[in-house]
Amino acid sequence: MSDLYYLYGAYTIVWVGLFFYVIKLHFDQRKLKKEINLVKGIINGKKGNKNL
Amino acid sequence: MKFKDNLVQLILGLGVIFTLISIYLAVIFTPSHEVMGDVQRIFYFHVASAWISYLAFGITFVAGLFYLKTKNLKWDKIAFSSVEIGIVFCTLGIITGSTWAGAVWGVFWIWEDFKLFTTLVLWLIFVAYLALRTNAKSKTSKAKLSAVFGIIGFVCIPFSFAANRIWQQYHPSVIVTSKGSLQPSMAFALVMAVIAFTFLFIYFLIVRLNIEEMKDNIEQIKQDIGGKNV
Repeated sequence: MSDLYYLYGAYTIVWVGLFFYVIKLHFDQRKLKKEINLVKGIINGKKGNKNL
Repeated sequence: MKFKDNLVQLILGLGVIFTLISIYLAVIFTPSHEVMGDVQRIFYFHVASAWISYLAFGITFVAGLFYLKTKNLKWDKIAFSSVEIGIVFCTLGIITGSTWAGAVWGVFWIWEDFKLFTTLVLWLIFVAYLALRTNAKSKTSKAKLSAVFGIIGFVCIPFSFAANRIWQQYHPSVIVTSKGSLQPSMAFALVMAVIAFTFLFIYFLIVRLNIEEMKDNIEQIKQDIGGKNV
């Protein structure tokens, strides 16, 4: 196998690895933001029902 | 909040700019190595990944000490977040190193080499750190165990760092000897790669800490709902 394949392989691993980690962080953040909004929505709904 | 967001964006921007510059330097600007040829270009990001993993585990060590002293869970969050990022960079360092070894040594791993062995042990210790956290019962016992484990894990770093300098087996020394086998352009490319990865590390750490804070917020809100029964 040519040395260049090893070079391409290593560079691909580094950048794909970092890219996937960024994506993972992004999705974790998005999921938690949704959950916070959902829980806040439930609280506001309950408060609204009490006020009725 | 706006200032913090702008700062995070700035750090990410600097990370991306320095990364692009370091790729240019590593691939185009620096000459091929006389003996190893182009495969030596792996070394810039391999070394940078390894350095950042040491930095990350070092932060875990310091944060662990602060947690044990202050019992403030903020330090546990910093330690935990830093470990996760450290494992990402350590994994990249090990894989790129093995790829380089495959090209230069003809085998991907040599078990007799202390540098490789101690780095693998370091990686395993911090993977175990993450596993340990999932089994701990309360937040405080989790934080205490993690702090102790992080401090013990850090002990492995000097061995991993110095192994190739002390035993001089298969793994080459990078910041080398009085003769200095690293050309100035190569050293410059390496420094730029380390700077680029440092910015990326800071960005990851801020985002990771933000995630931990959001988790805490959700837990707090849920407790409030359960406690007060709004």
